[in-house]
Amino acid sequence: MSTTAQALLPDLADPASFQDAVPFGAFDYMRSQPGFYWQDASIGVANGGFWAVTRFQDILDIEARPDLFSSVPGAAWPGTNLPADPQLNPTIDLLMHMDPPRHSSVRRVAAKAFGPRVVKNFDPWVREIVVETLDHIGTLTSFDYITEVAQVVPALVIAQIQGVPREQRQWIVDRTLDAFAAQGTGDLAQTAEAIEKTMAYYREELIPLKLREPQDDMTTVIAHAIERGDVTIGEGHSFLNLLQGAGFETTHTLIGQSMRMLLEDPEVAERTVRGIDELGPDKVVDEFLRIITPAMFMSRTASEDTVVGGQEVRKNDLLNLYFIAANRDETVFDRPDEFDPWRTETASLTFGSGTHRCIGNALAKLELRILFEEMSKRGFSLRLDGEPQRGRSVFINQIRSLPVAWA
Amino acid sequence: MPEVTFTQPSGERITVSADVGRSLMKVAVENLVPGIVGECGGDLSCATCHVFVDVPWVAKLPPMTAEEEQMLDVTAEEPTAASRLCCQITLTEDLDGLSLHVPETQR
Repeated sequence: MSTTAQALLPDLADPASFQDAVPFGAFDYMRSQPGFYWQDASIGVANGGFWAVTRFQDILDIEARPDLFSSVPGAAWPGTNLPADPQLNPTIDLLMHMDPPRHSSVRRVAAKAFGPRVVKNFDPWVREIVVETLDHIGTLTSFDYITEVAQVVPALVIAQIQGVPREQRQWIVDRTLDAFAAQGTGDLAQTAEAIEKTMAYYREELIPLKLREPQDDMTTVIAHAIERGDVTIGEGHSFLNLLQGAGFETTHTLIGQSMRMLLEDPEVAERTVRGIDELGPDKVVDEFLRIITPAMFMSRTASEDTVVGGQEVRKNDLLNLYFIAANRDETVFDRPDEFDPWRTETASLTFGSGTHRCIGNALAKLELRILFEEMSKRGFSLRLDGEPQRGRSVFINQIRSLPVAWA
Repeated sequence: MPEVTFTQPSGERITVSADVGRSLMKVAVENLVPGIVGECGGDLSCATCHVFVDVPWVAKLPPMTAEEEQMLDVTAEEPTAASRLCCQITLTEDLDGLSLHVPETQR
């Protein structure tokens, strides 16, 4: 690579590089180069930086080999290069930080609750939450779409799934936001402290409650799985904590960013309306998922010296798999930057691939689909009412604020 | 080498053959049989290699483990008494001629 090109490339380890926009141009360049792109980094790595993997097929190949590319040292940089000693690593029991066969046995317990047929049955109560949320914004004149809609819907949905009583829902959402902020700093002690607050709530309040009064919710399922010995106490508690975060942050990003695109780009708006009409909402939702890619990457650590994607990697090298770049790989997607719900290449990497593929994918799609259906039923039409604000995150394609008013 | 036929929802039949001892899911994925995803790679944690075994063959397959039975709850299409996850079927000479139907959806 020429030094000029390198000088122009953003530092993928610096949240500032994602502050104004996702650096899609840089990802296109990296994808066009042989091997992977090396990014220096000072935290979360054993070997001085990480490889940015940006091609679709390379990511599939890496995620298909958990024996060579492990999740145990961490799955989202900078929360990586974690110590193997359970005493020093607060995330040792996290499902995302496991390889088979341990991963498989824990995942089976959870997968049942999120299978496509199970999630279909969530429709009535998710719709109720969406309707309630839309009723509320109907009473406002100008408001922030992120705090009033994008955060509210997934927070209430995940709280319902976990079985968190209504009066504790805001508290648990605030703890989730804290934990995300802490993880973003790469500070283990701060992360442990933030996670522990949520874990303590599940351990000391919710699990005992569900054992006394079992209900049709995830905390009851996990409480019973712990009692039967299907999962350990640590695995069960960590899973509830993971669901809390994973179900919230990415879906809220999807809902917020899709509305931003609709408001900023008349072509996206026109294609969304026409697409829902001609194709039904599912393909429109899939295209938003591809083009937004809420979780921009996941990480793997090489467990030995190997060659992948034309790149020699060393043992303990970190590989960040940029789903958001691969989802615009022109060898896979025709006109990749264009929002086109009619496209036939629909298998995106938004949820990742392989054994760790997002367990909640059907739920995320359901939430956006119902939101679109209910919005269009009401003929809701919004306009931008201020400058949207992105988040400062290397990991999530975040949007922090989207001021809107009725059109 | 035993031969196995996958019938698509469209009625199209795809016959593949492979060595004894191989996982049927892996064979299907390598032969690009549409509708067999095998997302987790045979880990029994994704339920995207669901097949309906043609009735004469159901009893000739080894019985399901508790884990496979558990994962049938996660399939996209409603399972029947003939449902299996084909990552759990290992090819043997006795399975030569095995015939299966692929569901409409796996996710």
